[in-house]
Amino acid sequence: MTRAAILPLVALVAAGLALGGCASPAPPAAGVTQGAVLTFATFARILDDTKGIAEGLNVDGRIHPMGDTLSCGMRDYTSPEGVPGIDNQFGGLLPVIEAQVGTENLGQLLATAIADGQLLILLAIDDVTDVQNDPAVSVRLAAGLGAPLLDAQGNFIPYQTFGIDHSTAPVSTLPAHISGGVLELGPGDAVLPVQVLDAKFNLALHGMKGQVLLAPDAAGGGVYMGGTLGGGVATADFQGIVQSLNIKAAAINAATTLVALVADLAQDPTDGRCTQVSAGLKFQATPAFIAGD
Amino acid sequence: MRNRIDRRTLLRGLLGGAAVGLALPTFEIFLDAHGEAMAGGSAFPSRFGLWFWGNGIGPDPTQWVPTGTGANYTLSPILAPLAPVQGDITVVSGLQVNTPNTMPHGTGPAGILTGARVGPNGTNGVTLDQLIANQIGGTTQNHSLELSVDPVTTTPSYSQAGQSNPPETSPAALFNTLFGPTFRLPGSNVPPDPKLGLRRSVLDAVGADAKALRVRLGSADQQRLDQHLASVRDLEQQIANLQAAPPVLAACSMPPAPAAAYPDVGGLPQLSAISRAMSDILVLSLACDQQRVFTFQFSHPVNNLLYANTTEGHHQLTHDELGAQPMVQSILHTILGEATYFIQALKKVQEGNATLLDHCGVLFMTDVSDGKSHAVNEYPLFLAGSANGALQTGIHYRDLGENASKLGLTLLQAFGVAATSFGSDEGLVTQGLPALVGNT
Amino acid sequence: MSDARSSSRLRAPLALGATLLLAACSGLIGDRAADDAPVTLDPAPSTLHRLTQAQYTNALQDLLGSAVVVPTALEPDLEVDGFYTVGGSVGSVSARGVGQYETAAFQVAGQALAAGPARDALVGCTPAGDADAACAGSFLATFGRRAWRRPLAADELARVTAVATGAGTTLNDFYQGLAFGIAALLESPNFLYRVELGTPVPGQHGVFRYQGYELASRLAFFLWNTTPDDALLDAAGQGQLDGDDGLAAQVDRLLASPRAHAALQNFFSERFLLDQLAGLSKDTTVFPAMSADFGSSAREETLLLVDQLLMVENADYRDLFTTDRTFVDRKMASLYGVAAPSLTSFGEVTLPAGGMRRGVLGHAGLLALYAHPTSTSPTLRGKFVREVLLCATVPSPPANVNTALPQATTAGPTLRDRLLAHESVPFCAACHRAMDPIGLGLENFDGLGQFRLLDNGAHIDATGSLDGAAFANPVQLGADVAAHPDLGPCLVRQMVRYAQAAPEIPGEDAEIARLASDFADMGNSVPYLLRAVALSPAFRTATESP
Repeated sequence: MTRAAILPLVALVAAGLALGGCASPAPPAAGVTQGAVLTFATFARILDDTKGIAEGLNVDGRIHPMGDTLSCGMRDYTSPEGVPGIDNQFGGLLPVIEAQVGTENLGQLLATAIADGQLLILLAIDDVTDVQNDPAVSVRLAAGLGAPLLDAQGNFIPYQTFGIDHSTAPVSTLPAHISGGVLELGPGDAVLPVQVLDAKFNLALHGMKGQVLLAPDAAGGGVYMGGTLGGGVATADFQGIVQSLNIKAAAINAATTLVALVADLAQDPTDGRCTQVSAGLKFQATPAFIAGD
Repeated sequence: MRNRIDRRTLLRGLLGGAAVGLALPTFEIFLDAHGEAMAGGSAFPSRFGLWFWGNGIGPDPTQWVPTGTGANYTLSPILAPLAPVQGDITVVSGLQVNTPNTMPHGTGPAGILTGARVGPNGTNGVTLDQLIANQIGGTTQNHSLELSVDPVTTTPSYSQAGQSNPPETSPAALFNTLFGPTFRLPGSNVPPDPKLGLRRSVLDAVGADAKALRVRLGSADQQRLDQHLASVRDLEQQIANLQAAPPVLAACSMPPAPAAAYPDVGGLPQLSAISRAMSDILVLSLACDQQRVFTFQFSHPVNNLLYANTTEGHHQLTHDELGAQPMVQSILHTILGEATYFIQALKKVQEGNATLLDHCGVLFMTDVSDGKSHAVNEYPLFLAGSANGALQTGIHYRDLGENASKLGLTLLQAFGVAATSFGSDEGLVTQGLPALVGNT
Repeated sequence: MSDARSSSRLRAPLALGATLLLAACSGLIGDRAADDAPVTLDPAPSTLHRLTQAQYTNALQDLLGSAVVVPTALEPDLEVDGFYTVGGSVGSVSARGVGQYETAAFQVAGQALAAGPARDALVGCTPAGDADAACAGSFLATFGRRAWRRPLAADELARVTAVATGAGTTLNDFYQGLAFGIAALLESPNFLYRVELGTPVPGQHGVFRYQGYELASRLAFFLWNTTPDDALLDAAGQGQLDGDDGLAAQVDRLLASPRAHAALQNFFSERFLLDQLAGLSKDTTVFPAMSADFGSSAREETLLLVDQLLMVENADYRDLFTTDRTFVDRKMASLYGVAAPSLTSFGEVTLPAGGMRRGVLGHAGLLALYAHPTSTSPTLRGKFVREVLLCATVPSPPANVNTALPQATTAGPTLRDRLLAHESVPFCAACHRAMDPIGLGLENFDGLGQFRLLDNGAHIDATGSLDGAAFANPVQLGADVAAHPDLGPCLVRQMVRYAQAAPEIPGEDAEIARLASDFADMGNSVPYLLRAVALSPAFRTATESP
């Protein structure tokens, strides 16, 4: 796929304005890249364990009731909107992990890391011809390069330019389409560069999917994004991450054991054990330019 | 040369007998460099100050003008913060600037401080503080001192038409200038730096250069060069003072060093913190007799400083806020609070049987009465301190419609300037305000 | 005055010097001088010029080395007729300023005389003792000639040498003593003021001609904003500046240097009051994107564009108001919603086709400067265009007038609605109609210069007209400003004012008109204008100072 030169939507919006009125934007003539930078992230949570309500996505495309062998006995959840088949075993581990890490909410750690520029993740939708409905686009996820410019309230200033940091993590590319203003991406494998506290690692997400609401900005021509990513993290990866954290040995042991217990994806046919844990990430992103595009 | 008291002599006096508080007669200690007595025969010199804030007092005169006149009056809402020092202040109300109001925010300062019309580049002559400094500022280290909390390059003080005396705006720099390497505590035995004399030799050469240049110039340029030379003479005076032994003044000590910088907090300038830091340094600088005339500018005319709990800058608010302008009033509450702090700081310094405040006459003023209309009648003014008894304190004096230049003439005379008139054109007066003259 | 839309435009992106060479070779300038009848000229009177802070700093770095750090606490500049450089022609130095100049003189002297090879190269001789008058005198003569912009007279040199040797004796150190000699030179009015008085012209009563060293000083401060270099002083001493060819040769040498670019940027920085961007105050609850570095980045953008277009590319001055190119760093790029060409420094960008931001009237620095801490100001922006760009004079607001704007209402939500009184009340409209319509054409840029479509929730109407030329958006406004007949002549007038560092007088109007006509004929080329002004009789002659 080609990377078109950036032709911000404002060009066509403004062209419409120049004709004398605040007309609605005309569709762009050629495919453009809509870039954004992650400004908010939090793990998808279990909202009501008894009723089985949880945030997240249906990663493997199937609905697993409790005890289903294909999911190694782990049951799927239902989303708050009533969508069944939600895969989010990691959500159940969150309270346990948060107790170990010692902070009230892991989300607070993520917010600080984002503002400091440690968790700098770029999301680009390429070859966009219609930001409302477009059957063929692709999505890139990459580590960003550059110190975030924050405004007086600590928010990212929109439309700042970042470079891609190729040295930290490879750029992940996934197929996607836009329908009714919602971007559906994946499934595909992706790598997320993560740096939280003193832990720095690349998180491989298998079979990643995403559902992202796109909100075009008429004045600036970019797109604000918000939604959920879901995928499977290999149990071994998880355990490796846990071991690299600076917490008590007993807690590490407990966590690694727990992780293996809740694995629900990618069943190994040879021994029937699931090798990945399902997880979800809710996020928001602000329009940004990606240098070199 | 001044007489010096060293600590040994003092202590001998104290230990020797309780009857004698000081080893030497008080009067002799405080002779100035020429061996002459201080103004009015008092042991302590009189000091004059200008304390200025910008943008007036709002649209409603009743918020400013006190109720009742004479000694038993009630402070108005805007003046309420001054309650602790009501006995030391005199409120003057009803005066007006009579020169044409051709420059909003400029007519007022020119009218009060020179009694003259404002010029195209601002105040068009030598202001009140500099006239007084010319009279009483010739023997101190500094001819006068100009400070500003508001970080600008101008003050209401002018030594020449159209060019304002620029202020010091950094408390740290002010401290370093006044109490830094050149400062010697009273009674210290440190000999003067030999470089001081060499700096004077440089200034002598500069003076000779100027004299040779002067003859080649037209009269307008000659005046400019003369002004430059007057400034050079001020520096010579300062160096000469630094060479002389430091005067022994019991109240003189070093103030605590201020912060190196005062960055904005929450998007707001730290006006109160800077004001208090500068006030503390200025007060001790006066106690150490480094100068006897000062201008303290809290904020400049047309300033758009941001204060807490307001939606706009100060100047914008005076034009945009509706009705009684409560936000403008809240800003005034802050400003008058800092004025009170300053007066109280002066009052805390003991000088003989009285306080530094008693030896000061400070004029508190602003650039307009109502910021929205830029009016210069019902002009907001008050004085603090009696200047060694030359000025009345503790009263509200009201004189509706009177020419504001009379206040300037009164102040000149209170500080010993032999002036029989003040101002020009519509601002010309030949009499002062007798009710303000103290019973010396 | 010829039509500013002259068709003979010199629009080549050539290097500056090459263009001038081309013009000289083709004989355009020479022919013109021979053909035109001389215009009547009553030049401005001579006067002392106090060095501005920038000139003071540049001069000391040229005298003592670019590594010297010059203190910034100096007598403030005074703005007169829109320029600090002109402010040096009035006023004097305050007591505080004299103290600051003294401190600065010793500061830089101390740095320059710090032990090392740089000092030895500067002083040029090895002292025999603490009070070696020969060595001190030889250095002070050379240094003094450059500091005072003319050779020292024998008594002047003797005086300053005595200060140095006296100090050297007292302090038992030659170099510490020499610092006092340097201070004597730098504190002298002969350094702090440009003494340009002129020589009487024989046979013409009351007319003076700048010659030799005085002319060198005028040229250097106009074209380089600093003290004359040795080559210029040598040329002055040899009388080369007193003939047309010698003068032109030096003017061309100065214009070919990078210093001329910095000086042209200084002209625009003063003209647009860009130094006020450093202390710009914006309410961050209304403009969260405002930060401490906004001011310096915004100033840099305007100065880079001015230099690139006008000096490097020798483009038509009018392009400054219509160009779709500008320079941005990461911060400015984010404010403009464009991709930054570099993550770490400024780079040139072409703004989006069909976008509203064009020319310097689309620069965030100017848009934010001529505005309020919490909002835009169509009046201030319009006043800027009217007074600074078109040289009109707008009277001050009358006193005792209620200047409060009505609050926004649902019927009249935008600033345009609230400013209706300026336009509808005849008492106000008389002056405001010259300003507000222009500024209202820029309402799509908020008080920080960011593009917006709505004001208080309502669609912004950016239509208006500039002296009969209608516009519907900021792009068309920029084009109308560029086409305005006063735009070029106004630049010329201000350039003459800046060059002579004094307000222009009516007696110079004819000469200014001649220069304006030539400026238009030469494609509104700023390098041409700089050269023409430097060679103009208005620059070289004076009437007696009052």
